[in-house]
Amino acid sequence: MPRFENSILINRPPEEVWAFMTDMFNAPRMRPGFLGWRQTSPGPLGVGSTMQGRAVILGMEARLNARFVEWDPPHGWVVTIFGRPFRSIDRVTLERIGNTTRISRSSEFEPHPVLKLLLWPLYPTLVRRQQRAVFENAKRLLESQPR
Amino acid sequence: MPHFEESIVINRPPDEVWACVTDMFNAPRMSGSGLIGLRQTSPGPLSVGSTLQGRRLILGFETRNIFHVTEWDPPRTLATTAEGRPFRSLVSRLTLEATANGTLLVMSSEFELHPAMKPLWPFVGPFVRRRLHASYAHTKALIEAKPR
Repeated sequence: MPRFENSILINRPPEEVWAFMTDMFNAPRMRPGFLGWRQTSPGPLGVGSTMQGRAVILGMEARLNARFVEWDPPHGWVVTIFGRPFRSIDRVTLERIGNTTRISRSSEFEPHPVLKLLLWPLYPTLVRRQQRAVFENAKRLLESQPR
Repeated sequence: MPHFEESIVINRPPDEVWACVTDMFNAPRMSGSGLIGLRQTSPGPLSVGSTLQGRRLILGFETRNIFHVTEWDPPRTLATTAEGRPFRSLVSRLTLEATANGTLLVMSSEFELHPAMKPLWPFVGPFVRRRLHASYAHTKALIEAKPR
């Protein structure tokens, strides 16, 4: 699967970044076109937790199913996402640098063969751009919150 | 106070329409663009007194609203009041009525805008009305698209 790497420095401590990033209510604020996540497993989020998501991709609503396979607050998580348009494994890590946080994402992303055929060679650019937008929005939203 | 009322017949029984319109996960899908999310903030199942937190984009700005459920009579009536910009007050009511063709869904809302927004209303109002109309049609399409 193709791999995409991305990172950004956020002027907030890891605990604050973690709380923001793992609050699923914030997901549509970070990613335009995303309709929402909801937890489908009982209890707090952790290893094995599952979520159902909806996103508008190329004008069509896509349903996604996610499962956390690693969960280490406030250092990082690994989540697998399966849906009709793609499947991915995302590893997100938070690293404290002074009073700021470097958040990094490494994604292995495999689009559906039809989507790959239609969008090739655009899709790596689209994925990279969208992942960068998510982090930039997270940074903007987090840093605009009063300390 | 501005008042909106729209009704639409959805070719599904009231139980099915009720389940869809009261599932907060569906709210951004039904409202079209604008509503970022809606989540319950009170414990337990939804009922009178339950609270919800909503986020909406209005003219490019994110606003937050707190909703209080004031009527809850499944699968017939849901009413809420809301606080938060750009509203000074907002009262919304949904009623569902079984008909021969499915369910008549009537949605009404009455609101008073924050004083700073009032001068904009003559310009923004028609867009809001058009968007609400589109969202009701969208709700119908979404519910009817589900396999029986």
